[in-house]
Amino acid sequence: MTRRDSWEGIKLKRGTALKDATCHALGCPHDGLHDLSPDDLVSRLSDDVLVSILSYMPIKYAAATSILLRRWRHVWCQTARLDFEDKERLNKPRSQLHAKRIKYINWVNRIIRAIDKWTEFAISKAFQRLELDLEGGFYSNVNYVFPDKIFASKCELSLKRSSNFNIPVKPKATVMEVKFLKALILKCVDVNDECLKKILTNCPVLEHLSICHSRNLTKAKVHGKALALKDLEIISCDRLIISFSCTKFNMQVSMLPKLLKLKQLIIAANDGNLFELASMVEACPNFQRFKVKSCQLTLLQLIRNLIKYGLINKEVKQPHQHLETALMRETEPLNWLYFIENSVALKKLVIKPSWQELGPTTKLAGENNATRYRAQLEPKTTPVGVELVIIDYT
Amino acid sequence: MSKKTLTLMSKDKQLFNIEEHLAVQSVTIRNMVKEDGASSVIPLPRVDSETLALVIEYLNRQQAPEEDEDYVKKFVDERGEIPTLLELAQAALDLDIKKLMDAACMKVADLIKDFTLEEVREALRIENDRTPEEEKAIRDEFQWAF
Repeated sequence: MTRRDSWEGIKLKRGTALKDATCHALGCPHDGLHDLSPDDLVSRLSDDVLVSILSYMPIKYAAATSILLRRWRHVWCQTARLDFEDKERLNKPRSQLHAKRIKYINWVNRIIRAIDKWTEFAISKAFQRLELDLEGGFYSNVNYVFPDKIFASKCELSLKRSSNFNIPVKPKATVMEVKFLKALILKCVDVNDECLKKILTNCPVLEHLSICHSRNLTKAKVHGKALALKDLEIISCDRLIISFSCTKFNMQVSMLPKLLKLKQLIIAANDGNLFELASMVEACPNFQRFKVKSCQLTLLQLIRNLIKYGLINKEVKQPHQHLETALMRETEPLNWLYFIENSVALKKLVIKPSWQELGPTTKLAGENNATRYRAQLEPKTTPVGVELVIIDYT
Repeated sequence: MSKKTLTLMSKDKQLFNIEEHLAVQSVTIRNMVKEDGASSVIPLPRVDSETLALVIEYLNRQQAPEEDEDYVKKFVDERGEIPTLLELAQAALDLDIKKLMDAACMKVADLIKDFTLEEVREALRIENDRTPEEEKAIRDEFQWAF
């Protein structure tokens, strides 16, 4: 049955698929070609044009078009891009946000029927990039848990559409590996150790992985088939002990080359536990950017750790050649001097002072602080070839 | 060697000349040229002459590849009329000129996304073909969208 047959009693006369269009271009005769008034623009439009237009709109508006014309009833379901943006609902004061967020989730649920289906849906549609940003949930007690069952072997993914949805059910897609997902960004989504492992094992082309505010990631083991991983970002995972399965790295040397492609590592360590960080960095010799965002850890603590594990010590035989950037909050310029002096491989230093945390003793305006930083640090960085960037909020 | 020229014929039988190397940006035309050499006139019975003139203007652009994105955006921006854009999108789809089609569709989406349903109907010149009962059924099923 063609798509055209399934439209219910529509007056549409023209072919819709591209092959039809080509056929017309070739001059094939076609009935009904001349009986359309010039104003009957929309009936001349093929579904592909409508789908493309709706793809550029938030799904809420796209779906509303189903009421415009009978023919458009299901057109929005074919859109290639899903934009669940709903500014009206989410631009609310924080006090109302929680309730609104629940409503929002319920709303999306009703589109794809169940929360886990969001992800299954994305996977079954062969998306290359999946971003689940539930940031509002940071203020609630429960995070959405990443549905790792989608990686279960021979997991059968099918979007069962209920009968009142009135769309022909597509054949079941069997997914063993997620062969097309290149970027996975999870904010306020719980990813536990086991789940992380599944993600890395089952997504062989995954290049960018970002996990933010996951509450149950404790030992992130980055190993296995993560062949293509280029960026790994782990931010504000409160309970994370950054172990990255160091023993494994050391014991299973064969695994080491597999992380050669990892070029950027971003860690936000809340508790200052940088234990075994060194082994991890050793396992990833091609880091170009090593970014530590630290909230509670002072710079001196960090430096002690880094020196302890041989990351920035002058005495180290093979200093980390690719350690380029350290982006940290630190209020005392003198601490930076110490850092610069001890970092042989440092090429670029980005300082993002946190003005609001300067405390009552520092009553200088932000501008003065930036100047002060520059004046104290530049004489030290310039001679050793370290590029100094101070991000000024003012 | 002189550049080869193709002749395209619009729905209302107007003829347009275009150099072949420019015309083959349209995948549809490229395939036709490949298949039969397309020595004669290529009829485009679904494209009216105004729209075809626009398409040809687009195909004849002299932009450097890196400026192409900006050019096509500006090109559709200057034709802000929804009916014109829809015709253009349909023609670009038929002729398989992806960039033009995408840009035209994006522009239409941009124009209509803040419209009420009634305004969309007006802009697209369509009449409601549903009974009130059918309309209610849809509003009930897709409550979240309204």
